[in-house]
Amino acid sequence: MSKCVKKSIKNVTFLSVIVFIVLAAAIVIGAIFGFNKSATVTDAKTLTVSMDSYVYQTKLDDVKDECDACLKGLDVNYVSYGEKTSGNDVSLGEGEIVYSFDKGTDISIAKAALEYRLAEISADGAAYDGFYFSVKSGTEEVTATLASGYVLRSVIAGLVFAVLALIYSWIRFRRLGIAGVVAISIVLGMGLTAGIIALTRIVVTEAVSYVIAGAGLLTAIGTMLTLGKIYSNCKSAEGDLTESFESGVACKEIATGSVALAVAVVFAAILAGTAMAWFATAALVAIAVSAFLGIYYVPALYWPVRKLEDKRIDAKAKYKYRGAEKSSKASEETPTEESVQD
Amino acid sequence: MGKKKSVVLMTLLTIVIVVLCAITAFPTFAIPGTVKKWQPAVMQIDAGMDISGGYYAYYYPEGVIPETEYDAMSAEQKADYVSAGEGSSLYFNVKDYDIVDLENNVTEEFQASFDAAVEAVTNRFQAKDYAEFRVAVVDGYSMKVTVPASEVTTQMTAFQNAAHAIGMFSYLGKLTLTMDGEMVSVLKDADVTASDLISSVKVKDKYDNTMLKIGFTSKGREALDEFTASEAKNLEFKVGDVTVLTITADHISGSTVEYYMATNTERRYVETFAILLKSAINEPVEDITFKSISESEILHFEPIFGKNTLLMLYVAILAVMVALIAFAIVTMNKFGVVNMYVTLSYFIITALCYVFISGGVLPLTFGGVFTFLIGLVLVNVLHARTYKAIKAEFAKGRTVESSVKDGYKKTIMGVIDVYSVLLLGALAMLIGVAGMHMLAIQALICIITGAFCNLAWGRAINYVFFSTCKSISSKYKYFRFVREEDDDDE
Repeated sequence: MSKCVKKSIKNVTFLSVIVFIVLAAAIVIGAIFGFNKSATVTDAKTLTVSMDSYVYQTKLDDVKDECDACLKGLDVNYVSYGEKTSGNDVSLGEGEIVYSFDKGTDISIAKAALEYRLAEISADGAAYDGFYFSVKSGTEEVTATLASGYVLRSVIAGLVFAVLALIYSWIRFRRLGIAGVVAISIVLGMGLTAGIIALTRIVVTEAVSYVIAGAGLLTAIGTMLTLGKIYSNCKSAEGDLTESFESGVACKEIATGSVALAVAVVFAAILAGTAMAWFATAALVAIAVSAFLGIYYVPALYWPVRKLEDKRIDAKAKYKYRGAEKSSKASEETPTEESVQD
Repeated sequence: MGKKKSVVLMTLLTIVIVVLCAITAFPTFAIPGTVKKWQPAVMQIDAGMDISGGYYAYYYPEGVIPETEYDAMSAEQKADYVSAGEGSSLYFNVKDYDIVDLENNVTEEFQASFDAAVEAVTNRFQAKDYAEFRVAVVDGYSMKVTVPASEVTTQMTAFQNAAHAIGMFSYLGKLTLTMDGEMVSVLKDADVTASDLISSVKVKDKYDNTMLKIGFTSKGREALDEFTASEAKNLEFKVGDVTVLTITADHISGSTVEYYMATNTERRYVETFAILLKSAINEPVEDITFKSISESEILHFEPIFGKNTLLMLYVAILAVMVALIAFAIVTMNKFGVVNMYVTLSYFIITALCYVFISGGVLPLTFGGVFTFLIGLVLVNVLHARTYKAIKAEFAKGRTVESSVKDGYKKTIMGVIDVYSVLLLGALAMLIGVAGMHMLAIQALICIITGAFCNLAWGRAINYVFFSTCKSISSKYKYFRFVREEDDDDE
């Protein structure tokens, strides 16, 4: 058990301040700027490079490489996609590559550069001599990318998750303190993940909601492992609460699992390409947040709650009414002066 | 269990796992002597837009044309058109349409009609519950709609489903009822609209088929009665000038119409009709129509970042699984081999469920991959946790058998707690719509499979494998335990 983890158990105030500062900053940034959306899901400017069907069928990758090289030299951010085919029949299709840029980008230079380059490669004697290319600019204003009620119902689902987890934990551990900490940690897991993604301006698509849901699940795993272990340690240990907490944090399981998952996500992103890069980055945030909560914050949050609960239980036990039968049994067991003398 | 029985069971289990792995993931190859190809289950999965691309189309209002169409015109034809503005790729027909005024500015009427059309079309796609989609206004006066290529159903391909929705949702206009082309009398009153006649449009499932159920008001009942009493054969439901639905008297029951589509009775297909009819009733858009969309105008795009995204994802998942299995075998010896069987079982069950609990319902998105990876790592972590508990019990001086028993006993509640809370989380996520709802179903698959693997399957496999160890040393070797000879054990 690292010293860092041991120290953190009694430092809920410090950790809470960090958590709430991050959340507050995220709320402010989120309210003003929202998430940093990818050009594919937000208003964008587009450049569409069209070519005839023969070029599309035989030379599309080469033409795309030419266009990509041209745009890279201009240092503009863009997303590119698509070859266009007509419906189901590839042979009928024209080729089209669509480049999407942030709506604030001045694409006139990019358009001119592409037109110049395509004119070069289709000039007399050049590689695509006689072939026709055209570059068309346009603007796209997105009106919808999410089903109606998506955000509201996802938020409700997250809150319902926390409530169900609270009820389960309350029934399972018969302590409202643990149940409350479980619910709070799940909400924090999702909230912090969303907040950090908004703060760090990680590029997102609608898939960010999946990352936030995943953060809730990961936080639940770490929280249940840690609190379950602390609970059973406290039950079996005689009075040493600190030792129960320090040995109860599921540090190794959470750390190992988080590292394994992070490596898996990074590896998937490397192989799958840029498609998954931003999703993987957001997923790494979710993994880090859930690990932080499971190893550091949840035990620290539960520490004062447990102490308060134990104090209340002890106080109740002191004044607890014991029935006549129990009292007489107790007095039989207690040696009296006469019996001692005997 | 006797050693011989254990060995037989192990062999059978291994054969079953290998066969199922092959069915799930063996790479595609051409079957010799035929034109068919073997395709593993994982390549039959419906994948979301980021992974397998989608379809898109442009909606152009009548009188608006794109630059490519303008460029192909003769000089004489071009004279009838003006540009929609600097930098725009659209042109307005000024001869036959009142889109612009004398100063070539877009009229308020056209702007209002177009804005209403955008809102109606957007609401239709939002109601369709796609996991991913995109509706955008292009250059101010045309629309671009994008849907995923993952809506594969039993009766229709992904393209057919996309073409159907894109085509249907382009229809604008109010809903009218006609009897063999003649409008019903009730609607001839200018103050009466379809919303006065129709109270509800629903999709109803019955015996594995889906029908459209339209409820009529008392005023609507008059229209139905007029139709049934007349000599007309068909009652047509028209959106603008387009007939979207034709029924006969047989479909009418009191003030309800129940209609099974002749061409297709799948839910996703029928839903499109319901959404269109509701939209035409509740937010009719008049004074503007979009040009009809032919199938050749519906365009396909590859996944945003490459054709092989899905294949590369599978390679990555395979590499992760191999790494987890190798690590487990190195650290836990034969108990790690048990972990290998558990990991492969988890992969097979979740992959087959992802593929076959589908019908276009569960496209694989990055969220589904992430959930799968969470479950995969969790299964391995909890298995390692059990090993740690067994080792701790052994360190107290217990026999191997009682260490195994106590190790499982001490960890079972922790495993149950984790999976119970995850199950509740996945059930809560079912409240979400579209992609979140689909992710919830995928999460349920992963969680239930993981729970089965950790709580029952892993233990059963361990029991079978461990039964082959009869001597003390083999039992120690099984778990990579080291202890001095203990006379009591013998």
